[in-house]
Amino acid sequence: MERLSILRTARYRNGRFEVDGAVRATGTGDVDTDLTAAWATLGTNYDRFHRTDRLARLVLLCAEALLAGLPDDDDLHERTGTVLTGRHGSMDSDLRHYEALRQGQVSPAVFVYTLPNIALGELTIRHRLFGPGLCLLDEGPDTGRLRDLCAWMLDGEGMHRAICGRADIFAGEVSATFMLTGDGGRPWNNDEVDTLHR
Amino acid sequence: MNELRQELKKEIIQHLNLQGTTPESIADDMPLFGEGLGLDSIDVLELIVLLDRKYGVRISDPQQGREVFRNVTTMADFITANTSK
Repeated sequence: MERLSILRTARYRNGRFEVDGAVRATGTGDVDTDLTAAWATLGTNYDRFHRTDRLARLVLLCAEALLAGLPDDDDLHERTGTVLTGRHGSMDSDLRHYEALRQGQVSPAVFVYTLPNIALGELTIRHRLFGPGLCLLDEGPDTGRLRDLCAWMLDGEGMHRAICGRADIFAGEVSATFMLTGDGGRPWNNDEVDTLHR
Repeated sequence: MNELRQELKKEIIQHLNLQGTTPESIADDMPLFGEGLGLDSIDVLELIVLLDRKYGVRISDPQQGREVFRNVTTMADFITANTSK
């Protein structure tokens, strides 16, 4: 029996940060300042956040909001799957690395983020998640596929919850839509998920 | 030497973006990794780049790196020894 339902949501659009529809931060227009300000609203003490790249910070921010208040126990660590999607992957850091190369100022700390799945790694390290994780690049949010993947995490892989996140940073545009799925929330509704991703 | 140690602390904080860390909170003999400042392997690479660009000293032997990056004092000693030659 399928257990797929939506338990919690987090959205980020150019500095505007919402958790379950409630606005937490509105943004100033500066990408780094806004991510830091949004993170501060969560009151989390995790300094590594500030040392990751923008994509990882966006993913950490939204996932933190989804998992806030859940017991930090084996169930969370062992029974949480993750589906991370995006259109531009690590392009933001790729371009920074390219520019650094061009200027002969290569930074290992930038280079290490030139793969989008590193953001997924940062998330799993932060919350010590050992469940299955997927990182996919596609043109746009495919609601049907997201639904199938989350359902597979829950019913096929025996996860108790699945983080379903889409994060994109490119050319100054920053957006993320994250959902915590699992049992006991409101049933997955394609129209609602489509709306969340707009 | 003390001036160099203070400068290194500021450089480490700025270079590695250690928000919430102040030079005063880094003792000269505090381990940079593990239980100390908690740096990781990518940070080592950044520190190697820092030493090369700012002080013109290079580390090529991994074993030497372990000794150099033990703490701020060992870093300062290494810079002093290799820039005065």
